[in-house]
Amino acid sequence: MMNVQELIKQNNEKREQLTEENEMYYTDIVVYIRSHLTLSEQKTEELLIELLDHLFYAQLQGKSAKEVFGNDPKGYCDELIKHLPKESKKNAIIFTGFIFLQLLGWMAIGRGSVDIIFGLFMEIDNSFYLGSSLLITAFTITMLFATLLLFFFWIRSSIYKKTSKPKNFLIGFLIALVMTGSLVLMSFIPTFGYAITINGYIFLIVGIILIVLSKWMERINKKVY
Amino acid sequence: MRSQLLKGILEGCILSIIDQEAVYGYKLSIKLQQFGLNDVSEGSIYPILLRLQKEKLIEGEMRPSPSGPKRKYYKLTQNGITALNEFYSEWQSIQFPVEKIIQRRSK
Repeated sequence: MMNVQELIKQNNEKREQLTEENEMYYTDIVVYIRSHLTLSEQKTEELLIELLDHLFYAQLQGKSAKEVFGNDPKGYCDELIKHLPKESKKNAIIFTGFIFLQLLGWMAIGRGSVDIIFGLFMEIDNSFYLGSSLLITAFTITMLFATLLLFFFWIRSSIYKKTSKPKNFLIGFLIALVMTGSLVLMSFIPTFGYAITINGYIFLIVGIILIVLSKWMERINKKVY
Repeated sequence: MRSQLLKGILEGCILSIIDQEAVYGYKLSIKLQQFGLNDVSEGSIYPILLRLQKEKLIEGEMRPSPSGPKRKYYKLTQNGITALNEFYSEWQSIQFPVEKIIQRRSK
């Protein structure tokens, strides 16, 4: 059995052999279907390779992607998506856990590094408020997740809708604005809750442990297939 | 290939071809064309293959092809064999009467 990473790598390599027109048509299919995050990743990638193989042979016979997959790529993709199996709950949980640990890990590493570097030049406040700091962390992670989902949703809806470039740009800009705005808003949250002192190095170490843990989860994820 | 009737028949033909020999997607479309089903747009077999997998009538397996790269080969499951036999008997029971009715019309 080939795993997802191998399939994606093969896909990228093979896609280069397509003509420009076919490559564009096919890449839209890839991005559109992949942006549906609830589908089984393994089955999705297997299907995409199948379609690519088919297109490649058809191209050798002088056929275009349009002739193979039809004039309505969105309708065709929706038909495929309808029949693709959903990701198993176990995989979905592991995947969400992976992203969660990654975000948490990088946040801890970020805070640790900032504390250490600034600590070299000035006196810094090492307190971690069990109330406000945890709230801010939870809020940030929720925002990042929401942005991620929003981003995929935006990609999905923009591929086959011929929206004008400015409009597309505006939506992207709005997403970024909401994101930044809420981050700014968070800095107004007053500190509350029991304060503990956490040294920058401890943040750094905890962050690294979280990242290692997430890598380990990713490993399991691969083994599930 | 829009009508329900054609969909069902196409599905039966696909099961029948897979029953004769494990095939991968492109080969399947070539075979359908060789049998004269030229109007079936090539890509339309993939939603059907997905549906047949979901209904557990066929299963796919990635394995090396003679020419090298791994391909997904399909074969029938036990349920698929049952479904194919059902298709055969249904087809046989309507093929003759339908032909007769159509012949009378064309006279």
